[in-house]
Amino acid sequence: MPVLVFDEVTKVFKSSIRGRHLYTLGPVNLEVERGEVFGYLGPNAAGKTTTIKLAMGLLKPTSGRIEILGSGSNSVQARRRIGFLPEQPYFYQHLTAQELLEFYGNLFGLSRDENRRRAAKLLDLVGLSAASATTISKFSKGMLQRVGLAQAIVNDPDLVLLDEPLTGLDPAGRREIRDLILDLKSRGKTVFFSSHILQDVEMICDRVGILVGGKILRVASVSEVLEKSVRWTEVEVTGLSSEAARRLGLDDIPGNVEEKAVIRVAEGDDLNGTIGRLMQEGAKIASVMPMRLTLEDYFLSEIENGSKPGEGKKPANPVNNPGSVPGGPRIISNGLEGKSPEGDANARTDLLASRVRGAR
Amino acid sequence: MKAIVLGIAANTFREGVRDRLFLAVGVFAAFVLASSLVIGPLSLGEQTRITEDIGLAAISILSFMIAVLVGTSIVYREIERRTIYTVISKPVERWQFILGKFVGLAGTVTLLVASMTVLLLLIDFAVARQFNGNILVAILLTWMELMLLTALSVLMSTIASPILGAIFSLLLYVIGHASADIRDLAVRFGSGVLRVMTDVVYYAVPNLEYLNVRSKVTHGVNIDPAYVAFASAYALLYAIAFLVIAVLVFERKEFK
Repeated sequence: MPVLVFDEVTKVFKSSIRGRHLYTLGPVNLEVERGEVFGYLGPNAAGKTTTIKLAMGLLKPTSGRIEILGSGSNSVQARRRIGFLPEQPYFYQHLTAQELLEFYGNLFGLSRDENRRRAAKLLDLVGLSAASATTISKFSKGMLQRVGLAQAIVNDPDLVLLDEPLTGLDPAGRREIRDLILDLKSRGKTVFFSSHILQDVEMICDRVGILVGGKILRVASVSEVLEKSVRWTEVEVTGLSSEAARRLGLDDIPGNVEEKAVIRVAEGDDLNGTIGRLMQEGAKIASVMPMRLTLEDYFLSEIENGSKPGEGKKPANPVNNPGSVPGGPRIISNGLEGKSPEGDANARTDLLASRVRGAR
Repeated sequence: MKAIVLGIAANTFREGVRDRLFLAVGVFAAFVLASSLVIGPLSLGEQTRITEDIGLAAISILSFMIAVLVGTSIVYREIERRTIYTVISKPVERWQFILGKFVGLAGTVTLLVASMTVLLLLIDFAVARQFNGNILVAILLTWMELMLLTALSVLMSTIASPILGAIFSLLLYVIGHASADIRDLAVRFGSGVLRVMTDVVYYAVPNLEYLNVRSKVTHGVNIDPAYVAFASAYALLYAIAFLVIAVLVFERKEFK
């Protein structure tokens, strides 16, 4: 049974003076299942925060139905079992971290002793024990994020909604929060969080929803995304003459390729045959590296395809979308960046280098 | 349910008393009260009355300042600074939030009134060698007036910016104290339209003079307990009405 349901939910913001439409979210249709970690992805101003605020009852939907833990989004009873961390959280500056968590515990009716104990335990959990008596006004952005996460789980919630929880943290802090989210999952909790740090999403999410321009473009499991993402294989060779390359039908040969060449073989093409022919031509195989789209590539291609509604999916562009490799094997680099007169080929290589990571 | 209101109230109270403004007003209040010791002897034989006049006026005006300056930003600032997100998303009803904020601020104002009252009684005793219990009646009604104004400030903070809210509250304070006089003037010298206008203002704005028995008390006039009860109920009803409107406004509020 889903713990969070968005059924045809829309939210229209109008300017207060002329009533002009400023921004529209939705219609959003979404179901988050119990026990999963759901990553809500989207560029800035996509509507991620609006969606979360609608779920928390901070905003009211213009139309549609929201169900959270079996109740409406305004249900006070449901909120007993929900944790929430807003984006760039801000807290009462006059309180110490311990006092702040005790204040939130109070709102759940925790007893004084229980409150004190839990506040101390949570501060320890988010690595703020040493700062428990420090006033919030002296906290750094990262510390605010940590204390924000602590207050989100002060009631040991079943469902936790986190708006950009990894923003503002250093790599070590991000790892700690990631571990914390995974710990919540291992204890059967459901986590819904928005982010644009795709690496983190890829590492901890079961499913992702991609939101662009107020519309959900895709909801898929992370493994499905990774499996379905178009792959190719890069074969690095040495000793391949330009003539031999031409005989093999490789186009766009970027200058001298004898010293080193990287040949991209699209998924579905005959990899073994290509390697065999390269070896027959006297080339020495240096490496064979299967490449896979990262979630980021997937995300970017979804944005690219979804940003112009009405045009449908654009044909994949091999430069902007390195995952789609139409046609047969081709040389994408001679491995001698800077020496090649073929700027385009190098640009393509640079792009690949910045976008593609090794197969997982 | 009660714990939630008290939790929010305690936090608001703590924020209020940890505010530098509260400390500044407190120090200033002590200074004003102490100054009556110097000014008093200048009035021939009226030292006790002068001390009490200054003391009661200081209690009324300075506490009003705290109520308005803190009150008109009390909800607005929570929204502006987004501290409200983590409170309203807990199992907190919106009316509990408003009530908690009011009770917390009322507590802060009460602490100031109580401290100044103790100081005034001590100074009064130092001057007259006896306690004038009657000034407690004046302070009680002043406190009721402050509760009304605190509720008004909380209402203002849900619908307007702090500056606008403070200006409106100040206007209401001035008109509330002078509406009867203004109406009298209009009846004597004004045109028909002016009379209607002053009538509207007279009935629409709470008559704060009902709650002002300060000069009567310092002149030794005894206040009828029935009057105290009536005036207190009057202030209480207005305070409740302001809070109900604040809750109705706040219930509809969205946090963008």
